[in-house]
Amino acid sequence: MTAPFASIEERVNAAIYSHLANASGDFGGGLVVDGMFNLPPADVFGVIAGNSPVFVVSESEVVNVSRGDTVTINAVSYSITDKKPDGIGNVSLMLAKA
Amino acid sequence: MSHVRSQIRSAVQTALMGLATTGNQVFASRTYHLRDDDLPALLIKTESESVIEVTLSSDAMMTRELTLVVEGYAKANDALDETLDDIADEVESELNESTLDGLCRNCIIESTEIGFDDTLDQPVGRISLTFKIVYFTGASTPSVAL
Repeated sequence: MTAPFASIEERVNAAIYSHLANASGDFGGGLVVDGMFNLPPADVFGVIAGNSPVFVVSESEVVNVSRGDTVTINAVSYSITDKKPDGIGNVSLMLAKA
Repeated sequence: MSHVRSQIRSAVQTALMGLATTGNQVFASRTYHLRDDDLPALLIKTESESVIEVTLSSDAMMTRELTLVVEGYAKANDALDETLDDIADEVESELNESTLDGLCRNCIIESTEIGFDDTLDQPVGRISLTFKIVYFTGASTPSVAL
């Protein structure tokens, strides 16, 4: 069975990170990955406003990164509370300030 | 003069000012969201009230049972449960069995609910303390506590 779009997807993902990556995440142990760091506004209980930090990276680069690991982005240390893959090669790392 | 319910809300806010965990971050009404600098904090809400006419006369006496909710909010990575319980301890100590400077017959806690949300950059915890406050007014004088 062929998957003709898979290689295209891979090339497109690589191009996305080469143009849109806005931060480097240092996971320790020499692992530094470029990705897209966002701080979208969010609120909880309809009362408390803040941000919900997320770091989107290529899934293949963080295969050995797990929930509970830490990453430093822009000199701020975060712990990874969740990994949300999108099924097409990217993963959103949900972050909480360590 | 304002409705006794409004006076009660103000009295509760005054009573809850300066507590160990929440300090002066006590709000009786908010038109905008709380942020990091505002936490930990207390929000006071009057949710509902039932009224019973006690005497049959031209100016009947009304027994009012007010449901007042004090919501405590805190944001932290560690010991959030303990912080919320501290908030409850401090609030209950102030309000339980209080007459709020004569505005009510009694104020007693009815229920407690606890919730957490980890959407933001740190988990946020909420503890909701529901109080029943019994007070009396005349039918045509809702701004005077009897």
